[in-house]
Amino acid sequence: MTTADYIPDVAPLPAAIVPTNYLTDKESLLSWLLTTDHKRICILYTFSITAFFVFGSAMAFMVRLALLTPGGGWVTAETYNRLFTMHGVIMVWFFLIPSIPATLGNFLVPLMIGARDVAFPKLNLLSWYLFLVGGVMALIAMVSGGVDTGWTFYTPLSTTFLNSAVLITVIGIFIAGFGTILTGINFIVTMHTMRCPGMTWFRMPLFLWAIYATSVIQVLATPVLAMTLILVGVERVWHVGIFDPALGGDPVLFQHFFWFYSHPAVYIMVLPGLGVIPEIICCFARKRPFGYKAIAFASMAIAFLGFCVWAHHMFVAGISIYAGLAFSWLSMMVAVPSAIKVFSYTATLYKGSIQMTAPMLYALAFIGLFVIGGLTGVMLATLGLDVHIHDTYFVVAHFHYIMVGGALTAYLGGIHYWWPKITGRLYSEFFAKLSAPIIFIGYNLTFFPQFVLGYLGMPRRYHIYPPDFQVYNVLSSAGATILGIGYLIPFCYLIWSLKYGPRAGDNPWDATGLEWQTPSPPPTHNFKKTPIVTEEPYAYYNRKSPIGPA
Amino acid sequence: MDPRSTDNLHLHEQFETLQQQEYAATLGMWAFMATEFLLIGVLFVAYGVCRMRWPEAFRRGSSEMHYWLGFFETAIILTTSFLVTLALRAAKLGNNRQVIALFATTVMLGAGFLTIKGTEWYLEYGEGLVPGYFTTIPTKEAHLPPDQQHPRPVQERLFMLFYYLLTGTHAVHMLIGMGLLSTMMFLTARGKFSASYHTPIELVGIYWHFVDLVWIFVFSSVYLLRQ
Repeated sequence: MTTADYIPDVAPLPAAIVPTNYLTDKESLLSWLLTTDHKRICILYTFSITAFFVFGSAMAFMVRLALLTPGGGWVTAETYNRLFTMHGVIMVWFFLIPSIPATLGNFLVPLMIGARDVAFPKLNLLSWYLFLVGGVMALIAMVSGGVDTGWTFYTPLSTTFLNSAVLITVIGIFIAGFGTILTGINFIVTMHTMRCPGMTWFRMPLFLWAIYATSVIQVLATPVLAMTLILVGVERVWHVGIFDPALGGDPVLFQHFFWFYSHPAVYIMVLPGLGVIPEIICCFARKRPFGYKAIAFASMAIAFLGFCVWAHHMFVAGISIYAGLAFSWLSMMVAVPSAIKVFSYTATLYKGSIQMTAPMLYALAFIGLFVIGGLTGVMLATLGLDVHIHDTYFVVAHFHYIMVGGALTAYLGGIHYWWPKITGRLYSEFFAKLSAPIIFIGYNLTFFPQFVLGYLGMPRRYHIYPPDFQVYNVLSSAGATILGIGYLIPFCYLIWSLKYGPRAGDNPWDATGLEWQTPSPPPTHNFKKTPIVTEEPYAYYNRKSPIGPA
Repeated sequence: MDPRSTDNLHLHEQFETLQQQEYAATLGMWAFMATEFLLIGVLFVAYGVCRMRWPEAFRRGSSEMHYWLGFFETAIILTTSFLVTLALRAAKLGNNRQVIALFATTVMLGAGFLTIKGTEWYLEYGEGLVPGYFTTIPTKEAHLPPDQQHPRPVQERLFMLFYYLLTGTHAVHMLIGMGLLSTMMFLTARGKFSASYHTPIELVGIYWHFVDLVWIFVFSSVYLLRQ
């Protein structure tokens, strides 16, 4: 499509002659570090979160290695605490939270609504720097002794009893949090004010509804975490006693604040994933989504309900039984919009012209894993059952099914689906189709045994366990290896495709949506002229033949 | 809009019209206010929860506040809110000289507020109300001889801690607001704003009103709940 790649970087030619895209517009390092182009910021985020993902995975791998044997294997209890803490901190705040919103969201929000950029491009760049500074501080904490509080920083353990690098980690998360907030504000404002002519709210792709709901959570939940972490820091330095019962404070208050953020934060991670899936499914089933408005409002309902369920993390922390009942019921309510989404996605497949492309395989894997994660969530929301399986591997398996099985699989699916648009290249379909099932199998092998382990009573965060549990732990660690290979394959062929992949063309999937109506990779200002939308979203019935590379 | 209009100088490239840009900027500011509201909200909730736990100690703490000074601070805050509103009106009328005068008065009154606040903190220090976390660690105090222990019970010191957290956070926001107002004065003097373009003035106004609103809650919940 573009010939820009063949033009050497000499004196700039007139734009009319050379169709540059956002990657070739300017090529100095400084032009990348000071860019305000949402597409370039997407690339910056993609590089940085991939690096953090590698760190976080390494920690997870060492945890699984330690759990191979009942005796704790090759690490001490203290090292083990640091490993799972840093795994959680890095994966939650420096990979999952920014994963889909800051990469695909940054790239697609302006493109999908037909805008030239986000509303506040400079703030967008600032978000990345805040994220990076926060992440670097977490890494500094890692090399200066690590943190061993668990990613939850429960008081008074984190404030009084531990001598690890809590303070610097907390400050790092605080700074990165403001990056998240600014991203959220940017997307909300962009979607409200910058939709092109004809792009009504109900013509927006469902991905944008999910990003909108996510942004609302980012803006309303993250500040609560920020102030709570400040209080933890203050208490740690001066022992002030807000969360210390000996000094008149209340340790459960910390848990309320923390989960008031951290439960909605789970939806920051998975809602964008739930938004990627209908894009993929509609494209490769060549159909309109079943229940567009239901899916859109389900996103908003999840965002709203997400703020009303936090105390289900505290059923055994001494909250009153009536509060427990209310939060148990509210938590089960989250299953309703989640189920609406899953049923709608499945119903969209019905009588569709289904193409089993790589993104489609990831989307189907997502549905399978998300259903398991969601249903075990309902089990955990049950007050009586939670008392039994609270803080066991059942919980660990449940939230990994949502956050890794759900969010990460959707992220990979989205990366595959929009890879031709972002890079202008096609990846190897063969290897992509190979990696998706490997990830699915490896994933289930890793985490399904943990449901059994948890139900049998193995608590989380211990590096030793009774020998009876070894077979499940060995299964889990074996699965982790397969999963690791599954993640390594896309890493290789996606990088390979950057140089050797065939050129994708503007619309390789013959998909609807404004992002496919502009060249791949898009020019710096996205569209040659402001597009005008005249049809409903996902108008696949207007397309004659489904042409795909599959 | 006439494309040759000088107002287009203010139009950023990602927007189509100045109206769209103004709408975006205003909405962004309100979204940021929602964030700020929840940020400060944590402190108020924590304060409320601890006050419910120790109503008597917190009542004693409140009754030791210099509430006349608080009253003057509140009067100053309400006056500045009024002045900022007048400044927005002046900006809409294109009266830049008046905008500068009103903002200058606001900044000076803000400095006055912080001076009174500082005086208050100084007086409290003299009265031994500072919780004293810097000098002794409360959890280890029980092992110290009585004359080295803090004279007040931990619950009252907790109240003072919240007082410093709330007023301190508010003071930081005041300083940011004064910086923003000064920047607006500078930009107005440079002729950046006109009757048709003065969005930044409006946004700074929103911020300033928010900071004032926080103070009203601080004053009523920390100073006035004394009986």
